[in-house]
Amino acid sequence: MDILIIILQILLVGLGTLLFGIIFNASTEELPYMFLMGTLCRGAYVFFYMNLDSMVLATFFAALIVSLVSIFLSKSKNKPLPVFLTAGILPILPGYSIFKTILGVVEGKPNDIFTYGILTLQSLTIITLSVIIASSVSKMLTYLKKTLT
Amino acid sequence: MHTTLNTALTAGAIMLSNGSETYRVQNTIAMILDGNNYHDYDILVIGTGMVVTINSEDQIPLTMTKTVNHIVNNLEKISLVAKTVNQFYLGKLSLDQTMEELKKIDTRKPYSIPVKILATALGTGAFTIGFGATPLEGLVTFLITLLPAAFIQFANKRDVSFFLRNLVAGSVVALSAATASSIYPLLNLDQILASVIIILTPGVMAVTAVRDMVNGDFITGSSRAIEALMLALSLSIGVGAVFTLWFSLQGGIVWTY
Repeated sequence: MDILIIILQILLVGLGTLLFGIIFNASTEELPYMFLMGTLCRGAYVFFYMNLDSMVLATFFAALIVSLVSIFLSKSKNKPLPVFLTAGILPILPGYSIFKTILGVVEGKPNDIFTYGILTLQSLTIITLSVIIASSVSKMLTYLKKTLT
Repeated sequence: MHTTLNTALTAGAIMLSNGSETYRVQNTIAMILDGNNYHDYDILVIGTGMVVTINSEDQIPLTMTKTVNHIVNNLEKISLVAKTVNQFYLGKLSLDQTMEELKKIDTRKPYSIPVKILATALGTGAFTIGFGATPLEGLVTFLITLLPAAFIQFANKRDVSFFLRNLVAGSVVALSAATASSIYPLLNLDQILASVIIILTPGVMAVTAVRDMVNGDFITGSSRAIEALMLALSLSIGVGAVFTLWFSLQGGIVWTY
């Protein structure tokens, strides 16, 4: 039963990502990919969080998987990477942490500034690192493929 | 040479004004120039504009500048420009045809405002339940988002400054959330706010800023980072002011931790 609820929640995050794709003005043919990327991102995050019990590692692996799939889709569908990546990383973006950090500044709460500030920096660095690793792996594979053929 | 440069800058400007990264804009411009056999050029793209020079041995070098004032997120236009430029590069389109296509792309209408408002509200509602809240909290999130989402669309259409837009939208979110919480105190306000605020926080911008800086583009990266901070600041001021006022008038705490 719990698994069913978790799957339902993951699918709802995918649906939310699809709907946010409309705000980003993604075309109707790209919207199903938004659902796929959102579901994949949240699914990977939940899976790794349940197994590794670390938010940092879960964010890292979710971002890495989303980046790799985005690069693959971008090449196979011949579309720019942001079409898939922007929506894909939406469920793990540290928007709320950014907000709480600045709210801590506005309300004069040093604990919030420190806690959420560190969380924001961690998330931003991890997501960027994952995207860079994924694009480096993709470039290396393309290079190897060219060298071998 | 002039037509090629104009076409390249038009493609670059459409991409930049629709939220593309600077290195992608640079690549797009380079593809048009290379596609027309101009291989000696200099391209400078920053967050608000671009300067391109074509150097030629038999002609005077030609430089053109294009600035971008209003940046929105439109993945469809980025995708279509990339496709058109790729077709030109492969020789499937002439320069004139490319320019015609680019003009068509630039005038394409986005989704209608009611569709965007509904998508925003349904999206935040789905996120709230997806992140572990109850269906009732999801419904409250949907209702709370409708007003700020409508205001954001109105502000975008009227060219209201981003600072004022986020400040007012943040205040509306906080006021609606505080009202909902006073009507039904068992609501998990923190979870509702976390989802509603996704539409106002600069998460995508912050990641793009870090990516730009990691790619060595510190000017664009730092300018995007400052913009993201200003957006977060305006939102926090709006939310913080309303909650402080509500707390002092109602005498009850509205934050749930």
